[in-house]
Amino acid sequence: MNQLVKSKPKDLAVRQPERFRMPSIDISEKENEFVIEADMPGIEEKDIHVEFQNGELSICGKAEKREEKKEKNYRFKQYESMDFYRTFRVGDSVKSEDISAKLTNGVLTVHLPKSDAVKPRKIEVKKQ
Amino acid sequence: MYLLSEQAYPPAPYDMFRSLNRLLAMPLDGLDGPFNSFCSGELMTNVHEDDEAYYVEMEVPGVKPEEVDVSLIGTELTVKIEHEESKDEKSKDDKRYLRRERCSESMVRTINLPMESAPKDVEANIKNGILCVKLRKPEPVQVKKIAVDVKK
Repeated sequence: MNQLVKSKPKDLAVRQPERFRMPSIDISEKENEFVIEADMPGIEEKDIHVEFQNGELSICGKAEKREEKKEKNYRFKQYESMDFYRTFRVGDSVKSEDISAKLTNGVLTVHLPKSDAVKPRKIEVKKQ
Repeated sequence: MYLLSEQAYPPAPYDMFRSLNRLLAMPLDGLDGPFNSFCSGELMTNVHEDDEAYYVEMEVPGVKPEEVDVSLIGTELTVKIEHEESKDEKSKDDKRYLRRERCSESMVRTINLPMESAPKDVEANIKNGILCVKLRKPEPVQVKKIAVDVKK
């Protein structure tokens, strides 16, 4: 279980951006799945990339390219419009083919269904 | 920096960890590479302007429009977020958190706009977790010339 929590930026199929922000995340566990929720404000759905490879899940949100004619005249700046990127070592505790993701109000939710190996298994006690 | 003034609302008791978190979450200018944007209990804000208006942008991921309260008193803009995570989730009971970094609390931020009088009109919208408030600048105050007569 702790494996899932560990996350380390590493070069994967989703290329690690040169400059990026690590999104804040919540990880929760339900009976049949793990859920990762990541804050990615300002990212469009088409710019989200979620990939699973070699037991590692990587999520990436590409920030809009600033192709504005002129730089905005900032009076105060606390955050930078930057790519979001984070990876998670998941191992084989999830069914990689059933991973699903959706974006709502700037929050990316990734559902990782547990593989049968880690699902709680009911063992029937037989009467003799 | 004079543009923004922080106001605790309601005045919160001193919280060492929050202050520390806030310090750690401060954006570092010119820093390349990753830095955390973990919950600092603060609404991350950008303010930019053009000839027409001021634009106040805040990061409010996961917040629905009905949870945001934007109000304006004179030239003071207040944004209040009443956000309760997973309130509407039925499956809350069997959910167990392994890690929590995201904000789930209510937040307030007040910004003093560098305007002499109240903005002409205000528009607010949320898109992809960014709240954008557009405040149109008031007409510039006309200078009234007063002729000076010479008294004889």
